[in-house]
Amino acid sequence: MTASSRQNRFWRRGSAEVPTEPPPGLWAQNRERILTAVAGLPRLPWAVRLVVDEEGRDTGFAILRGRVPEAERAAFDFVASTHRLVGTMECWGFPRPEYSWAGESYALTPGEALDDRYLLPEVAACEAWAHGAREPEAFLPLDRPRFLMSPPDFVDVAAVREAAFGPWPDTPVAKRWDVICAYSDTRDGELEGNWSLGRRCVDVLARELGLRVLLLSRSGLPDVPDLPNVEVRPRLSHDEIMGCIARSRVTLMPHRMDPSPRIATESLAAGVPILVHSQILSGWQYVDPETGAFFEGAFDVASGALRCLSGEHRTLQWLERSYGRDRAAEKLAADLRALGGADHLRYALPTSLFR
Amino acid sequence: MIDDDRAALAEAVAANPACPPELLERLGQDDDAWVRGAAAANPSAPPELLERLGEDDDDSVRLAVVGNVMAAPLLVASLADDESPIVRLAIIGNPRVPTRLLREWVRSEDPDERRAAAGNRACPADLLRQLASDPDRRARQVALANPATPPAALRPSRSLTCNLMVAANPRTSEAVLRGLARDPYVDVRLAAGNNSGASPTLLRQLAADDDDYVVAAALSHPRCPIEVLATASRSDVVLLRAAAAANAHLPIALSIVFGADTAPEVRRAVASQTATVLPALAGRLAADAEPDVRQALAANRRCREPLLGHLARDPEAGVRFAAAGNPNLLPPAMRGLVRDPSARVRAVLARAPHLPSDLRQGLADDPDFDVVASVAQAAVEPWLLEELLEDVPPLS
Repeated sequence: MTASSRQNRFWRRGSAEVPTEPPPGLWAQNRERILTAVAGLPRLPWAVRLVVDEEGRDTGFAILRGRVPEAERAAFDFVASTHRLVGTMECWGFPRPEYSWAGESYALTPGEALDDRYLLPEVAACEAWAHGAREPEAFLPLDRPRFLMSPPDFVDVAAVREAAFGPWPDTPVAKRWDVICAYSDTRDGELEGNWSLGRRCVDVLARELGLRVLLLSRSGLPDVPDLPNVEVRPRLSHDEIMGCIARSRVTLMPHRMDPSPRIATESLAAGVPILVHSQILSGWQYVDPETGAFFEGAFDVASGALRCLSGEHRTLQWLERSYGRDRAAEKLAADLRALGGADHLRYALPTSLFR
Repeated sequence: MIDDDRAALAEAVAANPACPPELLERLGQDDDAWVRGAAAANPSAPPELLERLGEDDDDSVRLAVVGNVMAAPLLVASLADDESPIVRLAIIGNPRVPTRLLREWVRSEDPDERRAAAGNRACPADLLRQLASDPDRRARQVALANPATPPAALRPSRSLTCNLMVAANPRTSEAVLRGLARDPYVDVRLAAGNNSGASPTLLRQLAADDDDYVVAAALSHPRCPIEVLATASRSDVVLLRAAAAANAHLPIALSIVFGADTAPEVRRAVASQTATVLPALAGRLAADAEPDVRQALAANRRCREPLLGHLARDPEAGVRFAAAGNPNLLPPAMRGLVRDPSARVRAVLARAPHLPSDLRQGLADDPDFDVVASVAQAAVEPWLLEELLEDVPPLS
């Protein structure tokens, strides 16, 4: 076969082997309208976001996603007096004050109930809690209704695929790395991402299996395994991160305490299976034989990686069946209706989820 | 569409360390920043190309130059004033920058620059001691994580994140680690259990922890005492038996015990651990009913022919995949995998460093893109790389 015909095979192939996008949902149809409506909102406290319907109209609900700084207390009180508040486990450690900001204090002993002594006023103001935890009672006030909903559920599949693959999301991308492990470059990154385990896992995968590993947001850190097949990059833009994920075969998630691991659903949207620590706080719900595997520690991460690398996964199809912006917005609307929201509410989108 | 397909293969070729300099020069002028970035990160990139890419408009390309281990120290230092903070900070963290520059950055008013200096492995001890008490929390944390930081500066504090860094640092003193191994937070105890410098005494203490995952970290640690591993072999908890079975220094007697364990997770751990695989035990594991166990054995770098050839003919694609990726696989077994029904098996075979040239050429004609891209990434034959990029739209 000549080089020319070899090349032409791929040019002709188009999207034959890559799943095509589903028909546009409500989000895609009304994207501009919603964004315009949201852009007209007054400035809100960072920790609070309104919940809008499919046309960007206020639903009367607001989401609380973190602590409210004193400087924004008055604005928060205004929102709380005009909206029904639902808390989310989106920020690390919230709503438990034990780690406070960046784990700088040991205010509450692990396992100790979140009782009135520690209840922040904004936490007390929430009438229900949305979470992604397997054991929410360990993190949330005990006397409020709870439902399963995590910000990564709302992943915008089309936007992720465009960021990952460019304007033609069905074209093939050469895989440069076997494993990608993305960290947050914040002060909480080590805790959320369980770096002490992540580092050992990377060492095992690179040294024992000879895999090429890309570590994101670990650049400039002194304790990264110094191996030729471990590449390190600093904190990148969201689009660049998606491009790196698309060029990888597996996303490793050693996270234990991450309450909102967006990278899980973003990887699935990019067609990349996930290898997730079995103790992950939230994100366990995205692991399925079609999407990846769990591992327990450095001692079995190699087996998990082999399963992910050699298995046939259908991550995008699974994600679109179960999550994605429209599905998650419909589910949130149902949860809000169950809390006494308007009967006609069929679509509920927290505005904080816009990128 | 055509451009994107071409860029994908070009990127794979540009990342290949065997890519000839002339071709790398060409790819270094590509329109696509991912392709230029791959060329800039290639350790075989000629110095002149790296110099040119060091002036690239795209900061991801300049960043790749800074990260290239073959980039001349002078070139790296010349980018110290780069307009992009990402590039600048990567330079500050580069162990090859001159110490005099590091001293300047440690005095910088920008906490990000001090933080990057704190992460530099070549940062002198006196500067790291100073950074370990930096007013910026993040700079402090990074200094505490640096293995070059003197043990005297590695002390516990009221900060959970700082304690985490100290618990993970291999130079932390035994006394401090023992204290942190009693921390109320699992994360800190886990970090101590995963610390490569943890002593057998400390691991014995952690093996008695309330949290199974802390115990598992201690059991899989290469310095875990043998009597602790022996005790774990009688544990009712599969997680703990599997962690002990994965210990790289597992005694032969315990390998045999774990190799006959009823839980496949434990047998899989024995099959995958690199230090001790006895021929008789390996033979039994190669016939294990669980594909995961056979797969772990096939991936084991100590597994050799004829066992490996046998596993390369396994009915499970996952086992063949692991065998195809094992560098000990010999050409006769490779020939049997060239037409494997699983594209993943063919792709991993295409990346095998010792793949005979005729087989690699055959895989270059594979109908699956990932297989061809794998050839582009791993081929050592310059003519094949040239051929893969022939007849593509001209580079601008």
